[in-house]
Amino acid sequence: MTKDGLDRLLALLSADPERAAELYLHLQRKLTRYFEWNACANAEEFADEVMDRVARRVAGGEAIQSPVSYVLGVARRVLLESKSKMLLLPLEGDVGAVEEPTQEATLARLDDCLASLPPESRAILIEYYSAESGERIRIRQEMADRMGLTANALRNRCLRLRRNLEECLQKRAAGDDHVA
Amino acid sequence: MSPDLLRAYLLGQASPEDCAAIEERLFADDTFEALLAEAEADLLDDWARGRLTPADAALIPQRFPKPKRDLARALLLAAKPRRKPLHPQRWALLAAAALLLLAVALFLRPGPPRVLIAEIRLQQQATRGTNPPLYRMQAGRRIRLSVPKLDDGFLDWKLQIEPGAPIAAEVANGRVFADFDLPDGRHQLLVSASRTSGGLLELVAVYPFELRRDVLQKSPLEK
Repeated sequence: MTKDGLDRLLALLSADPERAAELYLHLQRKLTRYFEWNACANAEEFADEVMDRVARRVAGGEAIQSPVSYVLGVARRVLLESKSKMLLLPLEGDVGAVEEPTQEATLARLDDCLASLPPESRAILIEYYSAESGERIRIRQEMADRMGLTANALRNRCLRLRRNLEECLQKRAAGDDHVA
Repeated sequence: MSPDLLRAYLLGQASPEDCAAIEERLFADDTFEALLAEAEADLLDDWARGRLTPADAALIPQRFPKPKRDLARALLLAAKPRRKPLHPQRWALLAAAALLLLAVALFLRPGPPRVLIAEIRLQQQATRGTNPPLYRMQAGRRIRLSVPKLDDGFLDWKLQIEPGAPIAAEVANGRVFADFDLPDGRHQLLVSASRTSGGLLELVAVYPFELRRDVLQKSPLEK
């Protein structure tokens, strides 16, 4: 992405440079989620590709009324192209490369990662995600009431904890592989 | 938007119109992004518990990367009480006790061993919106459950009817099978296997079915 392209794209997002930078990162995060949820193994690269294309078009003088809709349109095209080029990689990219961890190894890593959380967060995470499907709404609402939170606030907290845990497991697995 | 629709989107099964509506909301609404993320977590947790239909379960490895699947399985295990490893001395005592029990059981064995008389050959099927297949057989006997071996890349096949524990399955002629004592009613057979010997078990398929024993009618499945 050229500096001119980036500057023009940021100016399109907001006249306030700080706000423009926030919106840029926000859009990039949404794009990454979009590609993840469309089974793309390299979602962040696809998100960068979309922002590059949009910046090039803005720099080329293309008039864009709604940046968010435009970005989504470009993302759909990139996804379509990736499918037609067979770049939509199967997510089993690690088959044959790394030996499957044993259940004990995964559990040991999880224990380490859970131990790095404050006890209260650990208990919340386990309770929130251990509910069976028929009871999830009730149990989660009861948890939110007990903690004095809205259901949305509790959801966001648990999603953050789960994402941190996933990153921790990945890091520890990579570390173990490196040691092995 | 309903949880079922979000789930269909995550599995790549939603219509183009529904996909478009979901994606527009994803980019416009942060609360909706959190709802979709929660639907993803719940879908993976249900998969780890063996609660998806075989058709949906088969889509999970194609749609979600291994770290997400590993986390769902690990969280399920973390929520269950775990047994502590036994001290070697206790192992020796238990082994001696088991040998003694076996000797007593062989000596006191009452009559002939229980005979397996029926085999159910479950076929992979999508069961969304339909009743599970019904199998009828004569009362009071054990059954052998047999399913096709879906993937040659797996080792150490295990079959499980919840709430029972997974049991090691036999493999022969392209099929995986094991014997069970089951009450009448609806069950789910969970088929798991690992890619390496003693490795992490992956859920390969789920077969819902219903079992009903008839006292008078002889089952055509009996041999």
